[in-house]
Amino acid sequence: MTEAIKLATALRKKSDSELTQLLSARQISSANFRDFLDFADAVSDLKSVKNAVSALPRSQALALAALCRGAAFQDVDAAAARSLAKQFLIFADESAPTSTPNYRVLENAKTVVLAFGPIEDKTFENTEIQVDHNLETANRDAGVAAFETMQALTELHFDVDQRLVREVGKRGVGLPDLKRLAQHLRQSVDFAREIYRLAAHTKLLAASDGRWMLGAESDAWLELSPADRFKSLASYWLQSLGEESARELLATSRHFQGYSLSALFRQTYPFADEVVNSRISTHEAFAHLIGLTAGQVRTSWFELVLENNLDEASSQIEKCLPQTQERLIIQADLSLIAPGPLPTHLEIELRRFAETEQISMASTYRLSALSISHGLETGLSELEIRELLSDLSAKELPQPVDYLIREANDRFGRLTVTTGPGEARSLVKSVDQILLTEILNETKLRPFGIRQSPEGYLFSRFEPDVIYFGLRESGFSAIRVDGAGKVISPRSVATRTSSISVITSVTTDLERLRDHDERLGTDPGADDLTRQIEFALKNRSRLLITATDRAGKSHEFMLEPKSLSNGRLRGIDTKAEIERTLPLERLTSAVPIA
Amino acid sequence: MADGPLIVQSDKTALLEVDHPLAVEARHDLAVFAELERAPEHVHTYRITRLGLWNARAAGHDADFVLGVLDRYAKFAVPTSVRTDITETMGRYGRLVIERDENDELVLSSQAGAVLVEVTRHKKIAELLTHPRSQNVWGVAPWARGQLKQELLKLGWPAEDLAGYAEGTPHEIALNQSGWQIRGYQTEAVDKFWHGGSGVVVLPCGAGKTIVGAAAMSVAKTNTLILVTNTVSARQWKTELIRRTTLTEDEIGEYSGSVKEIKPVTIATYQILTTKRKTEYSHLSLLNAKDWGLVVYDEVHLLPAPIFKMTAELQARRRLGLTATLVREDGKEGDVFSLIGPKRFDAPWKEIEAQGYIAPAACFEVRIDLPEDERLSYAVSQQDERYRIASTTDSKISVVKKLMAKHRGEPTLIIGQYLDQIDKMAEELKVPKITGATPVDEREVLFQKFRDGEVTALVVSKVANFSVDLPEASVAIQISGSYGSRQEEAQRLGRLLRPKADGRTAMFYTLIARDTVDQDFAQNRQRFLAEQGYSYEILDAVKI
Repeated sequence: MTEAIKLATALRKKSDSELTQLLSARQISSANFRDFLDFADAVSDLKSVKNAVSALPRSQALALAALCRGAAFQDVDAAAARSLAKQFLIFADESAPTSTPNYRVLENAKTVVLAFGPIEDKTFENTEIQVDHNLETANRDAGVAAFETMQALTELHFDVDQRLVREVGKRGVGLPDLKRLAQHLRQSVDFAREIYRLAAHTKLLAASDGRWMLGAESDAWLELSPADRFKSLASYWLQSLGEESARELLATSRHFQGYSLSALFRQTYPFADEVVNSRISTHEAFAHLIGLTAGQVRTSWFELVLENNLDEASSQIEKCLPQTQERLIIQADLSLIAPGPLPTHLEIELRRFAETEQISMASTYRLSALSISHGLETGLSELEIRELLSDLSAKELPQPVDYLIREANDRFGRLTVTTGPGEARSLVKSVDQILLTEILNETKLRPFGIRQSPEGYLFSRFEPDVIYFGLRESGFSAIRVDGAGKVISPRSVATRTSSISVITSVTTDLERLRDHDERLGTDPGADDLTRQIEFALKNRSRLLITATDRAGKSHEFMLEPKSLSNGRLRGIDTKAEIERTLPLERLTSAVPIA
Repeated sequence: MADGPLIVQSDKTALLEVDHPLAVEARHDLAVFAELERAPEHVHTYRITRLGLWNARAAGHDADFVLGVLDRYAKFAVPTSVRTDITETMGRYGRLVIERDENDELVLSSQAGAVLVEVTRHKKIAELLTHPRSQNVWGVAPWARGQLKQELLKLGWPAEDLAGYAEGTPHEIALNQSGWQIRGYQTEAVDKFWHGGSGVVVLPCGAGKTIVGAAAMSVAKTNTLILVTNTVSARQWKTELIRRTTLTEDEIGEYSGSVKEIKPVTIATYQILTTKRKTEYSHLSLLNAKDWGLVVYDEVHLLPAPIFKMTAELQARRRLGLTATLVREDGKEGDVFSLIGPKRFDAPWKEIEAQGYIAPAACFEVRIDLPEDERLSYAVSQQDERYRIASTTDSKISVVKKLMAKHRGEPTLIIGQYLDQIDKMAEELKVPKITGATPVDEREVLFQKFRDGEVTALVVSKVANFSVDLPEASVAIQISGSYGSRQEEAQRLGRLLRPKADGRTAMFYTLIARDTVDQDFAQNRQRFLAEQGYSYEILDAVKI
């Protein structure tokens, strides 16, 4: 029996989730599979095998190398062998005449592995540079890095919540959006890009309908304490690494103390190719971002994370994170400084009426007429704003701040944007006619095509949201109101993707394959029968053919097909040792014999 | 330190909580390597810049010292990126040295061969060098000392200049402290300058920068060239030098548009030095007219570009820059560092005020509602006309009158930008005016009458923005300005900061047309002073 048929038989017995994992590890698409034989073909294909081999952690790589060179299965690490079987680099050979399961190594796996030469001695080479392993410094620096990343992810949450951030290309972000985030974080654009990548990876963000939206985990993120945020990030990192790799990396980490994380990864993946190396780079970058390493040096909690002891890891890093504090310094120049991270609930409240200037160890916000107006629009009252500021600063408000809040409150609602009828989609109204004249004459607003009606109000063919943001960007404190004059909060626009259900194409494909398999056993179509016979012809394998005679009675034959032409199957009946020719129209099923 | 006064941010700013018990100590240590960027009432922002770090290296401090200071006062751990950057940046200073060889010729040397190779291969630097003397030493063209320093700084390899200074022709100068005493910070500033060789002293307006200059001259005891912004300032310098030092009128020359005297101490204006005749700077010879041992640059933040070029050739002379702010609108702070020298001393305005050496000041922004017709005219005007319409509104006249009535008898300056507004204001208020068109002599007479109390109010244009000493002025009403210029706002307040005999607080009013660009520009103008700790109270004109 050929390898493909045995493999197909083995694949059939696997669960959908195992098969999905396999497809992902092999980087193969199931879209064009007609049946499990196609699946088996793809799994034994050289390229897909290379993909699997290159991602093998060290113990599995060693086990596979030994098997490829003819070692007996009982002589290799049993756990590693089981993992290799899970990945279909070796598979159960049920045709073998033994009572215990025996395994075969995929032919192409042998080709790939043997081309590498021996890997057993490839431990750290002499040239590998050891890092200065100052644990105290590493812990301190990693704590700062983790804190900055968590701050950045939170800032990104607010940014995406309040603005329209377009998806550029496939899961890309436009430069202006990256620059804005980088500016608020006082970090580089590259850092901002990494934050987007990490946010997408951890489901805090998702790209959908051409824009970035808050992801399924985003709201939960806001509720988490810093230590729990770290746990969440570390958990995602661990998942992306995979259980096996984590275990092996842990073993390597314990064994080789003075080496960089890069060196450990190189040691852990002896067959790594370009794709795996790129994945390793991502693991390394994220490890640095979330504070598992600092400058390639592993922290005290690095191994705890690999052990999946996230509680202990987070309790250790917590000591290196700046503590939250409920304190705000309010200055007469309208700046607000939080001299340490604010608890999230306060930060959320504050951001309703203050603009962000800088998010860092100490974060800076600024009050303006527009920001206060935003707070009022979201439902805060003047009193609530004053109380929050006074409580947090424990001081009287500086006179300019007091003046600003009062003035912004007095003027709130002076300029409104509503939905208009017909082509005039937006109406801009105010009791102050000179203000409307000024808007009409404002150069920055020309692209919005705002015109004046005979009644005196202004209108535009653009949507109210567009006009609202346009007016605000030009410095006019407009608010959105509905037909009844009720204020529409700018936060009411949905920007979340939590309701988007993820149905992958793989799930559908596997369902299709299983259906096909079932039909093949009971009521196969002509195409399926033909394909099964052709496959047996190609592989010189045997089929259990069921055919009906003229009286409608079923007969079973064990045939090794020889030809298929003119609607007839010709084959050797291996039991009767004669040649049979059967008309295709009489065949009801053809099942490969394992 | 777990709960220090300092928060070091990834962008290399450091926020200092001024109410913290260790704030004063921390401020003192930070000043060595960080620039005070903002100093509002509660939290001061310092920026750790390359120039600041090189200033510290020039003063003999290394990266361990800087990181030690940050760690000592930091509330949270100092970010790794900041640590790395400080170490790398400071490691760059002094790898290259400009010095003199045994034949007194200029050479560029380095113990780091790779750095020397890197810079000597650079086209602009190669032009300034003669030939290699050895693997680690290159000859430098005799005229290229300043330019070489500029170019090396641009490449990120600032050279340590150990080539020394020409002594200059000796001239006896001493401070004459009868009836006054040099202040502690002034002495400290001079000591630091002298120890460093050349550099800049940053002090608030009214804190006695002229005395720092005079004291530096008394240490140098050599022929001195003083460069100032205008003729009025030149004359004030002369008066002060006669009053504060042993110099006599005969020893001090004025080199300006009207007078061309060259004496052991010569005061020249930037304008005369940058005057061109047939594409040539016709007064350039002044720079070499005497064997100057010291060149003083007043208001170094205003130094015009051609003076930088000329200064490049004055590197053998000691150079002292004086200013209230190192912030330059043209971004040429690097040229000040290379050509005049590193910052040697600075003190925040509020600190000097606390010591009682400058007058306390209260700042007010008075918001005026434009009348309907002016609002309409503003609403339909072109964008570029709006500031003028808003800032010159006639409504400001009545507010100025109310304020003058409120401060009746107090020496008051009304400062504006637009001549027609100044004319109208002077006419309405019936007070004298000084603009660019007022002859220097007439200006001096009016300023003197103001000082003597004969005239209690003056309407002035930007000619009075800086370098005019009006010690008794205690009220200023700003009716319009150069759009959003922060520097101008600071200079105008500076007119009021001489301590008053009766210790009263100076009052600085800015009149603003509400809901116009006048208000937007005012916000920008106020930034520098807000950063120096001055807060503006907002008043409604109708309530005055």
